[in-house]
Amino acid sequence: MVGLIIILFFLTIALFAPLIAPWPSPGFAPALAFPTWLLPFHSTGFQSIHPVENWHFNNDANGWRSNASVEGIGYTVVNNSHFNDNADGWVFSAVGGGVSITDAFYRSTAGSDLVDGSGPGCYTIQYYDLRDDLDYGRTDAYFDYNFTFDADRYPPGLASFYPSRVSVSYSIIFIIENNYVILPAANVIFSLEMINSSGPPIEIFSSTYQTSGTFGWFARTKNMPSEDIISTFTTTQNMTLRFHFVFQNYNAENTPYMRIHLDDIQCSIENSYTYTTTNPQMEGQHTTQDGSSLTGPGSFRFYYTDTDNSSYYVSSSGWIQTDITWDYYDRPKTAYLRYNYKIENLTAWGDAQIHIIQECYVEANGWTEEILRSDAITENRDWTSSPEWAWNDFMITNTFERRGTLWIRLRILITDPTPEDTPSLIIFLDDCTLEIVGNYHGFLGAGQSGEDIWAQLLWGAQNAFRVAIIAALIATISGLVVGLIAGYYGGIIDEILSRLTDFFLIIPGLALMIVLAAILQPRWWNIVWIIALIGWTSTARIVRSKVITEKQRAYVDAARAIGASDFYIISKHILPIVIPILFAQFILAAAGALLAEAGLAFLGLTHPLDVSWGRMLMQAFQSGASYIGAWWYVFFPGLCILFLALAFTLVGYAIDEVLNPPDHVQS
Amino acid sequence: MPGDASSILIGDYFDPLRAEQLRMLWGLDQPLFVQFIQYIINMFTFNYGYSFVESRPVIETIAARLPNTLLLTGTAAAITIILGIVAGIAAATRRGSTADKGMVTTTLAFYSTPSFWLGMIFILLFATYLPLFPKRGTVHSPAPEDPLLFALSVAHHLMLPAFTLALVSFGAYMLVTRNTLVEVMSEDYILTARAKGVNENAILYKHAMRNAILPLVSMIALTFGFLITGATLTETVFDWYGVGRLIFDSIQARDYPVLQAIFFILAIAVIIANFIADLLYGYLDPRVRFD
Repeated sequence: MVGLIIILFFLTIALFAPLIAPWPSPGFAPALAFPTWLLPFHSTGFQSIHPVENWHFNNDANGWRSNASVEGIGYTVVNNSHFNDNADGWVFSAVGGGVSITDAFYRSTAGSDLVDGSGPGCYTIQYYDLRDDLDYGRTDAYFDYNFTFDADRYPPGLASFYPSRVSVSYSIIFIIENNYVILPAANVIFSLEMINSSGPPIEIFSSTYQTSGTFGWFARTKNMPSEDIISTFTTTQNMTLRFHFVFQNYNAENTPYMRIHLDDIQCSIENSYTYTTTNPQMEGQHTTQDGSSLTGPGSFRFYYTDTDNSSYYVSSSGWIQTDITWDYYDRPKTAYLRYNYKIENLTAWGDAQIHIIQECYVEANGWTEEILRSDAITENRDWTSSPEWAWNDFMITNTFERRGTLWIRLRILITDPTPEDTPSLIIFLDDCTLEIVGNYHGFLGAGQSGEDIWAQLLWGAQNAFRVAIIAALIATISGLVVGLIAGYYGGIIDEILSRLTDFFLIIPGLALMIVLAAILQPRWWNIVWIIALIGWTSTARIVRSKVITEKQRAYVDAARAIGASDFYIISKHILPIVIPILFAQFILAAAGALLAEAGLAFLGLTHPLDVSWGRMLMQAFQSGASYIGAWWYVFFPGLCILFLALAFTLVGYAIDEVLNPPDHVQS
Repeated sequence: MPGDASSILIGDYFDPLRAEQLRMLWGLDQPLFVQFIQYIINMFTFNYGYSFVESRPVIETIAARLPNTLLLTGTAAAITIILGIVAGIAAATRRGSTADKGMVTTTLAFYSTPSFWLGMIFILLFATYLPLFPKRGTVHSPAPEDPLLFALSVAHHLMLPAFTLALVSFGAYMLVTRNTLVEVMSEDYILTARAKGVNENAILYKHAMRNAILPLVSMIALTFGFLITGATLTETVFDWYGVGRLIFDSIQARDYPVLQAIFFILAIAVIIANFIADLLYGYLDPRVRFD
């Protein structure tokens, strides 16, 4: 009874699949268009929320003075210059230096002149060897940038934290001169180190700069775009970036003079976080973005003051950069940038306008691709209004890469058509969150390339019935014919047909089916008759034994005696006796055919466009679904096969018991 | 089969000249009839030729995998037979009860389970969520030097595929054991034994099982015939380095000599297994003993 219900259930699904599944057969639309909370599993999409980690802001204030004060990044920087005083006979002086701006992540001292060493972050270090009585002089000096991590700035639940990548770029010139016209034999060992409390200094870069073979001066410019260190850090609260110089002089006659210009130091630190919130990756739930939990990092204030009446516009741009590593094979589909912004006028600013332009880039495989540029949000402000916070959502829907870097750039463009105006304003950005989500995938989730499992299950039901019933029909009819002929005629015909039956009974069915399926075109009708070729044997055997007992009955002899033809006897007398056996055989053969089709499909031998449960399992297997825990991809197709095959079997046995009670038990 | 091994081996940049050389090397340029005669001659001399893909004697290719397959299918067969017979006896002695019905239904459910699906579910449960067993393979890589560790590693890898195979195939044994036992238990001589006051266990094992074991023997013999071919699907799921997987790979690669050899060995194994079954029948059941 239960089996019958299950069969009817699947049959209904198979018949009405085109109506239930709103998608055309092979190609599946990605998402269901009704509220996801109504769905029993609405398994996800695989999503992750990236808190805004890195804000990089730069200004090209065209006649404007901008002062970006960055709050809440998590690091505060203290710049220290340590000069080691055990300069063994050396005297040093440091010129410039003194990073006056306490900034956080990204320190840029752009545009200052290297040679005269002005501007923030620029150092000129001069060494004179005053004591020429030493054979060997060695001293070292270093600059430290101390970074202190401020955990309070981060949302609660920060479980682990470590700097994942430190990149440093700088320009450096070494000048080593000698007062005498001899070989100076002095050198500078320059190294860049990252020191933290959790381990020994990690050397980012090291090089030795020697005096050249000729007298005079030696200059070397090193203008490196970046020296990266991909982290070996563990959780660390304090870090020091150290520019380390070691000066050496091997010759007592020398009084070398060394000068080092260090400029354009930029250091950016990217962090990796782990939050103790449940990781939504691959879970069967949709975590909505909780704005409150992600506040903290990403608050900015920009001050703008128009100091130059001739200027026309100012633009500031900043970007969020986050590295995408998408654990599942499906790419992220959508990213939401959400931020709170407020523009506060300090002075009346006439007809000036503010545009916030959002752009999104994906950098992957060495390519940078712009994937979206939004229309500008234009604030044509009534300067008398009181400032209010406003949310802005920026949705990026385009093809992402699975791995790479996502850049979202906000360009703040202030145009001031009237030079006489001198607007002054503050732009606040706060509560920036970046949420990257996958697709919603209907009832039961999706597979490797976003194919919908629910829709495939529906279409698979159709295929299951088609293959199982037609194959079982062919197998049963072939078995019937062979059994009838063998049983009725006996003798040499029986011998041949029985041996044939034995042959097919004993041959490994799957191996034969694999060979045939590989030879033939993978069309469903080929699969059907291949399965039927294996499945007819048991029917033939049972029918044959039944016919043999039946044809010895007296009424058959009587019919023959009155001159009935063989065909008449078979069709009128024997067939009606045999028919009840066939029902059970048919249903059992359908169960076998279903399993056989699943096996062939699992081995990839069916047509790629024939959606079947076995093929779904093949795709699940090939995409490693069971290795990564995508249970919904593995579980449901197999469960359908199991239920339908079990239902066929139960119904088959039930029919067998009802229709052939005594004979069956005795055989 | 469309295409041949040369097109598989040469790949995307198909060079007709190179393919022709390979075909000549392998004898595929000969007429089919000549190839067939050659095959027959080779089979009689147990010369299985060279594998197109692995470029070594087929017999080596198979010999490298046969122990793995025998280990897997043998272990699975042992579990299958024991589980099937024990469950069959348990169900037969409780005939008609809820336990019997539950056991039969469970057995039918396992019988209706695709083996590869059960394997994937096992991987999911016992290798991914609960990392108790390795997910795939035959032995850890690199293979341990120590023979004991090697054996342990293989045993560790063996668990999931063996139980997968056993669970999907014990149903037949269980049903046959149960049905024949139920039938035998209703015979008159059992009633006689009961009337004599023979212990119920003795009736079951000394009287009933002796007759009920006969259909099982032919089933076991058939099973042993299939041990050689292994379990293509299970081996595929668990990436087991065995013959069943080799059949599939060879078909995909059109590696005819390997296929011919496997089917030849398989045919011999099936014939021998049936022969042994017939002999056993004669031993167990004097009624069919040969003169």
